[in-house]
Amino acid sequence: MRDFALAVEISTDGPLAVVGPSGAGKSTILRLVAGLLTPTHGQIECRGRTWFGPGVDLPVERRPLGFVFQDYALFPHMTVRGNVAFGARRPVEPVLDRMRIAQLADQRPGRLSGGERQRVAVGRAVARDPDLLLLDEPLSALDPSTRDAVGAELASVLRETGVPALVVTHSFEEAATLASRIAVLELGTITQTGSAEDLLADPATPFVARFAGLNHLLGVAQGSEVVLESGARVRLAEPASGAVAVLVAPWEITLALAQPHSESALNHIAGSVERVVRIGNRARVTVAGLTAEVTQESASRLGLRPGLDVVATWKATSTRTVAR
Amino acid sequence: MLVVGFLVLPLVGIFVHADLARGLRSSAARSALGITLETSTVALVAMVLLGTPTAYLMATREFRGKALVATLLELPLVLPPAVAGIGLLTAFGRNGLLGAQLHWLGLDLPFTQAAVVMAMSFVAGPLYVRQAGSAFAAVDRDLLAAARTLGAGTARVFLRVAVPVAAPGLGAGAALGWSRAVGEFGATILFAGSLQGVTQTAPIAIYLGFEQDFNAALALAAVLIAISAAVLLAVRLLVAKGAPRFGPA
Repeated sequence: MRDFALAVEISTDGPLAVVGPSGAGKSTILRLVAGLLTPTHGQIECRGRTWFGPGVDLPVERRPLGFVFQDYALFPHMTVRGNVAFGARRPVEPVLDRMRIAQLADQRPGRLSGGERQRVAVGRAVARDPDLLLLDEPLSALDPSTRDAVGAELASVLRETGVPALVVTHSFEEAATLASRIAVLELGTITQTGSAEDLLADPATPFVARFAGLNHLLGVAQGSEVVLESGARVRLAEPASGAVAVLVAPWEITLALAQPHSESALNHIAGSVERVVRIGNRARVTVAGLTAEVTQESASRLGLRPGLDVVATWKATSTRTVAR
Repeated sequence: MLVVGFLVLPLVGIFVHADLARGLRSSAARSALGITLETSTVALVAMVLLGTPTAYLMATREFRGKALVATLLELPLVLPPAVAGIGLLTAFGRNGLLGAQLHWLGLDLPFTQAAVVMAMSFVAGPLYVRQAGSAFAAVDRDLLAAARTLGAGTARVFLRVAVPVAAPGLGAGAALGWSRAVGEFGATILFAGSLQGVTQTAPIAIYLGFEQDFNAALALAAVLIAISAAVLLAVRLLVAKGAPRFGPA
């Protein structure tokens, strides 16, 4: 197993999301905290009580925590009520009501939908009255159509219970929905911690930028300009130097059929449309390695389709750089 | 077709020749059947009570020398039953390794029903342990982990989660173990002998009846076939019932 050097503190003012590429050790952190894996050394404390440390290794069953597994791990031979009651240290019925699973109380998990199973898993963990909630990719087992609604619901449950929570996810959207703070884990090290807005506004590493959904173009900065690997030049609002990644958010980019009248505060990159993906009332358009997010309306007005030559434009002031 | 015929024809032969009513009128046959059912049931209970926790620990724990223990647990499966019988005699017989101590305790095992149970357990137990082990290995580890995070200690995880989830596989293993015990011959005849009304089980009675009372032998054989078929059917039903549980929930 990889070495970890982690110092993470979780407070009650909102859940903390741990995000990172797969293989970064996100789930490992949860299992270490829960005691399902044993760290070689280190310290795990919760509410002033040591769970793991020199000479201390509280067994899993004596750690006051609630664990929501990625595939929910509901007991298939018990009813919904049986599942929630299994480790409950508070009355079960209010939990069933709060999680909107009271009407399913006598059913077995095998017959439930993904969203219902997730609510049972969260209810089972919450019923334990834990000092800490651990959630491993709580939305990844759901199909995309229900993920948003179930995510919003889970976020409000987490807020209500007021129990410190550690959520592991690989999606920026999930992290932003569920948690008030996000810690980015890369190769066993936390590279940035902050709100979703912080990460978008000032990503510390190229991975954070990519993860947050920002475009990143590699190049070399010379003062207020970056020469990209493609040879194109990008104007910056603040000077930089050396090898950098140029960052620009997809929603800062506008598309046009011809290059608008040149203005020094604007960046242009011309190219053919590679892909158009419609998401709700927005369209994600890939042009020359850039992703632009435009309204459905302007996508139809421009007649965007693969192969169409367009010009992508964004302001120098919405361009940021990160050293690489 | 040839294979099926080869496998089925002997069974057909038994039923064609057997006269159940007349054969089972023999008191020796009836007592052999009773002894078989009795001792194999006791052996089954012993296998399940001791074998289930053993299989669970083997499937879920890592410890030094586990491979060796696993091999020792499986060894009786590949031993010829006659070797098992001799082995039991040299261990628990009057002149065996523990013979003196057992005698001092007032336990003279050979040629008793206890010896029949031991022979059956020795031969069939590892079969059950192996089946139970694969049933436990098929249980999603996260279910066991989830039970622990919900405050369950080892015993509660075992009884409330592992056993119920593995139940179909355990049932199938018990059925196979029991039918193996019912059919036990070699180890039993060496370690427990063939005292009619005490240690003479159905397979032994069939062997002896071959010379003495062929009708009784045929009738017993037919009953054993019926038992085997019932067990096989039960196993198939249990496995079919268990299958969806082990799939994606």
